[in-house]
Amino acid sequence: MVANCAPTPKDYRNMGIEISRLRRQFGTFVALDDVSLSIGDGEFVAVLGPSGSGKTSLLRILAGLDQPDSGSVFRDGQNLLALDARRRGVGLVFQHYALFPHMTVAQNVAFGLRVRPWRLRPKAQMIKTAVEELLCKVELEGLAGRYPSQLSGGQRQRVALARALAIEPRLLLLDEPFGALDAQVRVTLRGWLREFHRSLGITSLFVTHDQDEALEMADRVVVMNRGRIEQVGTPEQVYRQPATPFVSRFIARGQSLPGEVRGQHLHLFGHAWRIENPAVVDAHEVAVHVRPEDIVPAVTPGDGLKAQLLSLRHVAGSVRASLRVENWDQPLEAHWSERDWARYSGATDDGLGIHLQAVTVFAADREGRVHMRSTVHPPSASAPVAVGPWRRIEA
Amino acid sequence: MATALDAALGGGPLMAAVAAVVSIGRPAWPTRIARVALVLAALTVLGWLMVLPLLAIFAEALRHGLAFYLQAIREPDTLAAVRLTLTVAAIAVPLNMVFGVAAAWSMAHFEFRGKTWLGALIDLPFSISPVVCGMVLILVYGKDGWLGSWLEAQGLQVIFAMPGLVLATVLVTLPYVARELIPLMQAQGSDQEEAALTLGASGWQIFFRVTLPRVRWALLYGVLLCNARAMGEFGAVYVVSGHLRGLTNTLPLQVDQLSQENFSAAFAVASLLALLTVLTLGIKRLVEWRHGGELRANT
Amino acid sequence: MTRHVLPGFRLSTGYTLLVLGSCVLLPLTALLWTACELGPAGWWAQIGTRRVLAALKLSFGGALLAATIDAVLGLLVAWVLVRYRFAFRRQCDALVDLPFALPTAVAGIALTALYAPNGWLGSRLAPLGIEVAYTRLGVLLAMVFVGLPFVVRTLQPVLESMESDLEEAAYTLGATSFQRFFRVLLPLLLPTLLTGYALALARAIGEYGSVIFIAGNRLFRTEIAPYLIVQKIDSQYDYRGAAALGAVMLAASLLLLLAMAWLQRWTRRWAVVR
Repeated sequence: MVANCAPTPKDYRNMGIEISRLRRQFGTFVALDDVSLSIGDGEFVAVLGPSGSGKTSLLRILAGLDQPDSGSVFRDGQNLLALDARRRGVGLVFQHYALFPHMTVAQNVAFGLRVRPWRLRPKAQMIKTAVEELLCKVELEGLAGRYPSQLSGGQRQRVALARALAIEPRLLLLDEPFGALDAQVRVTLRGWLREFHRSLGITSLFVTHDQDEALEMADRVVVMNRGRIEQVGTPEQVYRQPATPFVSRFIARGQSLPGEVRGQHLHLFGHAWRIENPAVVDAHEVAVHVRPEDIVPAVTPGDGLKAQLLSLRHVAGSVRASLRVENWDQPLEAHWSERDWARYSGATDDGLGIHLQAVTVFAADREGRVHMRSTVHPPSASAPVAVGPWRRIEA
Repeated sequence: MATALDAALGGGPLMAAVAAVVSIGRPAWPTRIARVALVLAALTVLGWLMVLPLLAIFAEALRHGLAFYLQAIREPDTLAAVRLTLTVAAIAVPLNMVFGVAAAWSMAHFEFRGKTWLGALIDLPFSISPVVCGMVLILVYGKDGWLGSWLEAQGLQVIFAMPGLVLATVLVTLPYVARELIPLMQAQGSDQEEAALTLGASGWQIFFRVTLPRVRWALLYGVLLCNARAMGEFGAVYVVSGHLRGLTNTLPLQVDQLSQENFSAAFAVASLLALLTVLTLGIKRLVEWRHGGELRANT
Repeated sequence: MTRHVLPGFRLSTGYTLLVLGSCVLLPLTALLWTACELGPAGWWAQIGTRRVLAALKLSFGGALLAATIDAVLGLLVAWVLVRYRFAFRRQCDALVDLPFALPTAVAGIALTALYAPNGWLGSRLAPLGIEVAYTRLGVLLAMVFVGLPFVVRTLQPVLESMESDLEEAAYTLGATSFQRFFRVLLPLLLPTLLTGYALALARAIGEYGSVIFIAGNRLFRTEIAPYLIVQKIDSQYDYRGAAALGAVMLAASLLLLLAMAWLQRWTRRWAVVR
């Protein structure tokens, strides 16, 4: 197989999945724009993005249900795109499961084995054993004789999983695995699927638009927007060090602040910080973001930025406040714990003082291509601070 | 209460009828009377247009007693017509079944240029007069037709022979199976077929194991209607058959010829077709009742 | 590189096109070709005779009237079948399909037997001065018969899917029952009703078997266009005359199809808004 492939710069053997420069266009809509990604053996990767970001296109191309306009996908040195979906050995769990309604659970799971060419088809007894094992793994023993319509949403999802695993795929794809479930079942199944993946160790990729889902379950998160990959990183990385304003907004609910760079200084709410980094001084565009949990109330009344409390909601252990800061027309969202709020609670009708514990600065060059990012921890006073160190990120 | 008030104020049968139609909750008296009137009106329409003709067929067929009836049916020409009708249907219906399945597979699972036109073309025979359908076949496959002379040289007579009857029947009943399957398969989408594909199934395996079981009742339904129409087709077949008694007369043509000579015998033969109709409607109802959910696209 | 993921695109589409080509496209092309060969003058020579014009007038006029009657009766029947529960409702529902499934020749002789002067209904109507069999009224009756199920079966699913929440919404907004019917229900049903009307019309224009028996086919009076086509082919072997007339019928069918396609788009656009 390797001999037939076009010469490749690297030896991909035992390197998992190597996706490079995928492009897919539907009419004028660009679903995938130069997407490259490598997935290690046994990794659990989440592709996260809003609807229309191209994540489902990526999944369908990997499954063989669509072909890219250009680009390549290699698995252990084997050109995956040259194989049709039938022979690809990729397990796909559909968003709405696509279980065969006229087959029992056992028949659904056995399908992939029963349709094998006569020579490769296991004996009936072996199929039966395999199905039993799989149903045991997904904790559905005893439901083998049921029809999909007689199952709950969570059970259906596990049948779909067992069915995909029956063909012993080397890559497992899950399309919005929890999209069709209600909120409670969702949360329970997340942990279950995480553990399940760990026990199998099969390279898996799942697509979701739910940030919590991606961050909670995946080893690595791929954040997509408008057909492009914005950032690839561990859940911690994409939260702490968002590469682009989009990632900051989407993952960490980053909110824009009216910061601007004039000369050598970053100006924000009447405070100015000296900037040491020439790249930012030269930046064409600057975006300053703050996360809801980085806005904290000042201990002493009168301290910090003056803000007005627009609304306050108590949501099971946390307090969500909507604030209006002086000289900024966009309301800011702040999240505090109940305990912190009780400690600070010095708010009056006139307002309260707030501190920004950390803001993230993104600077783009004139082409808008290179983003600079840094997290600043402004002290309460307007002492000059050095902004940096900077990291260059190709976006 | 507003309903009753409307009806009372508006007076007149139209207002009462309207009130009956759109009343909500527990209807007031004038509304209930109007409801009953509406139901009775509908029953009258159905009784007058549907039940009476059906009863007339059997009444006329049995007018001269059972013995006459049986004798009329046992007539050799009639038996020949029965055989021919069954043969034509036995060829035409499976052909249309295959066509319907192929058309539905193509329309439901693929996007291609001209798809809308293809859909319109499939429906076309529905809206063309059967007589025109028969005539156009003569223009192509008749003695002086485009292909007719060549086919005759190959020893195949189409018009005024069996192939013509089959062709006319196929043309007239072409959309029946496709019409049932296309909306259903389009609504079901390609997810399950794609799932089967990723699990390693081949095209035929996907069709026989995944698609067919899900559309089987709709397929049966379409075949049933197609068959009823195929056995009862008159206009198109009339034009291409040449109606040679005992040779190219199907049952409906036999009814037509007998009706000019012996009305009761014609009704005896017609009653056979009417029985087929009643049977068809019965099975159709049964399928709708037992498997209604699998016929409609929205469930 | 093909984008068709599922197998069988070439086989299914190819076979569909093959059948459509040999059974539908080729014959229809032959019809248009033959009609075109006549030229406008030749075509008018075939169509412009008193007999043909009378038949066309009866076919189209009768069909228009019949479809209108079907629209009214069909709305009534569909409404009653969907909204009310009464004895034998299922059986009534099944009966609606009778004109679909009953062979047209059988329907034709049954109607004739009923309405002939010595028939069960005909003998009762005769003293009132109403003649049905062998008159234009008979033609109309047969056309109404074949068209009714089209209207009922088109309306039924729409009526079912509307349920009653729309009316209830209108009710809570203070609409009277009269307003609910004419402002809410009828506008919603109109596209569907028109589609059913067009289907019934197409069927009535082309209908042969059910009509010719009860029509009696009297010269200038009760001859319909399909009957003339058959006459030209069957007894006069006049294929060109038949083709000229057939082309008119085909054109009418195609126009109706176009109208229906437009109607369906209208309905669909509306469905999105709803």
